[in-house]
Amino acid sequence: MATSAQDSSRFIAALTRHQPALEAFCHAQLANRQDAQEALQATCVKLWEKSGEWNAETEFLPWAFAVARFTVLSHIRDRMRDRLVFDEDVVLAMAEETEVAATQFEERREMLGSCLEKLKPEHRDLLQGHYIGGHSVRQLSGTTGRSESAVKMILLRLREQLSACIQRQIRICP
Amino acid sequence: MNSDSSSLDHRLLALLQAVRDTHDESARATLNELLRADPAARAAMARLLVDEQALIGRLRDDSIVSLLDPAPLAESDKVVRLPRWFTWRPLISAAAGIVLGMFCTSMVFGFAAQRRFEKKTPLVVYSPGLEIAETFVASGLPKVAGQWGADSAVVVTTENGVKPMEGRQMLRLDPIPLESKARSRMSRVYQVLDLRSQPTPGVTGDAEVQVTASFFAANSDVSSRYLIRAVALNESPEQATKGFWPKTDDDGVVSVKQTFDKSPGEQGWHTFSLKMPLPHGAQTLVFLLGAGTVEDGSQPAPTHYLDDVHVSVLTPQSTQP
Repeated sequence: MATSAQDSSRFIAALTRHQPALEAFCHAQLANRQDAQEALQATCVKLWEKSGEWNAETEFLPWAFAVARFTVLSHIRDRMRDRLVFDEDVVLAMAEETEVAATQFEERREMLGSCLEKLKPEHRDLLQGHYIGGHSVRQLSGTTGRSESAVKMILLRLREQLSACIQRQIRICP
Repeated sequence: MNSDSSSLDHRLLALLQAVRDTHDESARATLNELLRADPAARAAMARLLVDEQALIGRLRDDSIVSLLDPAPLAESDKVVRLPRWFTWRPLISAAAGIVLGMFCTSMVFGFAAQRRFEKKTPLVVYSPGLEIAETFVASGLPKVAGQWGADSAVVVTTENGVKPMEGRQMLRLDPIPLESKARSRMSRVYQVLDLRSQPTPGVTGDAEVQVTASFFAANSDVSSRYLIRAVALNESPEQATKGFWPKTDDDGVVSVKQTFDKSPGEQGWHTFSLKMPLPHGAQTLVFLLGAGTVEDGSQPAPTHYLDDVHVSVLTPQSTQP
């Protein structure tokens, strides 16, 4: 653990600043919100235990990603295979690309704000219901009066549109 | 983005959707094979999932803001206690002029208004879900950290058409029988969190703790009242849980309680958050979540479900380098 109050403060400051990127890393490795939350929590605890090993003069995120890789793999090994989206070897193979993407998390989140504003209110409601309300495609089909395949397709198109919009925004405002 | 990458994004998202929505094993195998074979697919998948996390974060922020619809003070307990040793003056001055009857809920908004221009970053310290039934203990406040205690609750999977908000399990809060001599008609669950094992001791300055929970009323035709309460103590969990209730009236304990009402006809999961200033040196956080009815208690409350419980410590950006 960090050895002095000043070290602790610097460590906590770095961890709080970079926690969203770490959460994005866990989410992208596991593709499941709950698993990602558990892996993030384990990562934060592990980072705190190892805080004495962190040199405040070096970049925090690469060191933290290395710890996160380990806890994600440990999480996968503790889970039943049928709950996982990716196989372990795929998670390992994707780790580098995931670090690159997660490093850009804050920037992409910022760009997403203006992309969301362009959506129709009913499409925002659909995303809200699915990703936050936890409503299944079938439930959303019932509440919107659309067929299940139509709801699926709208959700898919919205995700594509938003990612493409983020990419465009990044090109415009590098 | 050219048409090739657009088509790749579409294929990856469609496969991911099939794996998640229908647990389609062949889609899962195809997705994994594609990611093994194609570095461009791996980069695209990572980018799409990072964007998904950004989307969830944005939508969650919007959701919490819109759902923070506090009810009038429902119980007669003192609801906000700030100890003498807690010297967060802006909070005290913000709360000072607030009408007593609205103190609980207004304190949160007064607090939010006071701090609105200071961005705070959440540090998740507790987010276990309800997937591990073994962490559940039978009755009342648990004596050790990391276990759930309850008045009357059972870990369940999907039942009565109610699907867990997260994962495969949720908590069913059974109503307290009318003949019970319990002090509260709310069906409550309890959790003790050992802050010493979390990276919070290094937090200095204006830290807050945020407890977020989602509730579902089995009978949406009646109104429901939900409770979130947090208590911070500067004792170890073992000490803090001994003679706990009298301590909540003690000047040395920080305690905040808030109730939220759901009107008849509102369906689905409802997410609520409570924020509380976290005193420096706090070792234990006890939080309570409850569900009951808005009525006077002469009628039994409906069954409620609880899921997706998170606790975060919010630290000010000003402490960051």
